[in-house]
Amino acid sequence: MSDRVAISLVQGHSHGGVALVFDIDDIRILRNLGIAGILAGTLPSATQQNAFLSVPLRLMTEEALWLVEKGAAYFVTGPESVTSAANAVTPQDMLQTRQKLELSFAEQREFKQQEHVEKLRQLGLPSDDGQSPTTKSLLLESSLFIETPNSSALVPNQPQDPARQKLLWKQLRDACKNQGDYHVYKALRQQEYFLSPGARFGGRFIAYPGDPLRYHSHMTVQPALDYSRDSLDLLQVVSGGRLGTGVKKLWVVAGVKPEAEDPSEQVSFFSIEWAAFG
Amino acid sequence: MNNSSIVSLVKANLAQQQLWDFVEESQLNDLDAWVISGVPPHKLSNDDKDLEREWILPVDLKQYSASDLTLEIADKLFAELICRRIILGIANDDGTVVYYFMYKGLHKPKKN
Repeated sequence: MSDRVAISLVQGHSHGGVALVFDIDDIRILRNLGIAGILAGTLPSATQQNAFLSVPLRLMTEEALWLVEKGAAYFVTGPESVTSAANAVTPQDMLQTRQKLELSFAEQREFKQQEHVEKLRQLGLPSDDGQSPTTKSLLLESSLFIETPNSSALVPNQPQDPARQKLLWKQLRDACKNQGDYHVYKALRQQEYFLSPGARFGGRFIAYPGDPLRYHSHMTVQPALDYSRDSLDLLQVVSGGRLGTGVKKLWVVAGVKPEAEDPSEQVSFFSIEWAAFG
Repeated sequence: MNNSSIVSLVKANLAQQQLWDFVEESQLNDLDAWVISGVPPHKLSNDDKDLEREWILPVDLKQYSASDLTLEIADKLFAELICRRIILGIANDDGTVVYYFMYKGLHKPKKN
């Protein structure tokens, strides 16, 4: 296993894709990198569930782009990555998997038998309850379960084609609705803000000064503006500024200078807040 | 950006309605724009230590066309005025004025 995070890119017809992470260990790595993401997985039997969600973790496009750009992650996409992984399976691998499964069955059998004996003992019943050994073993076998893992053990071991990775990155980058947002994202990451999607407060990002479990967010960051061409929409200043005051957040606008050489000077931020009079 | 048409409106609002003192207008060197300075009757934010002279930029809220305030202009404004914040005085076409703080860079929300 590599320490790079596998990002599954689920691609539709007209856009770059939705970035998902399925491996729980990968999710921990991301958290340590300052990326919280949004857990999006429900139980198949409770698809309306909207709290206590599980894997996969859904990432914003900017997050996926940033991770791959800095070499902390790679994309997995399309049926071809699954077929090529399946083709690479050797009889040895099959045997190993079979053995692992048998081992898990053996552990489960032993555990269940012990549990059964313990239960009978507590009820004060004789340990031989009169059932035939065949019935017993049939009951036991039907109670064994096979775990379906959330993430593939095979796909992440496949070598990555750098040209294809580059292509996927570019597709995802080009699919961004507002090209400047990625620069804004990078500038805020450089200052160690945790970012999450901002639609709840009417912005592009919500910025937290640290892990969202420990800190309240301070800012609603608006979609990127062009530094010298886009003008400030004053009606939005009024509505955003009032809403921001209500939820104790500054309303942040960011101007992107695409031609700036130094990335740290590429984005200019301004924080706006209702002055509490007038 | 030319805001000369609403300078007197915002100035009168500050002096007569918001009861600010020492309200004066001045024209910027770098930009074709006017700013107003004055001292508020009380502290504007719990984070302020003392009353100080504030800078107000009158801007016109036009319903059907964009404003001409870009972030580049805002940067130039901060460069010329050398202050920690600028107050946008947004004038509506019915004569009302609303005021918004604008800080350069990322800033913390004010304490209540």
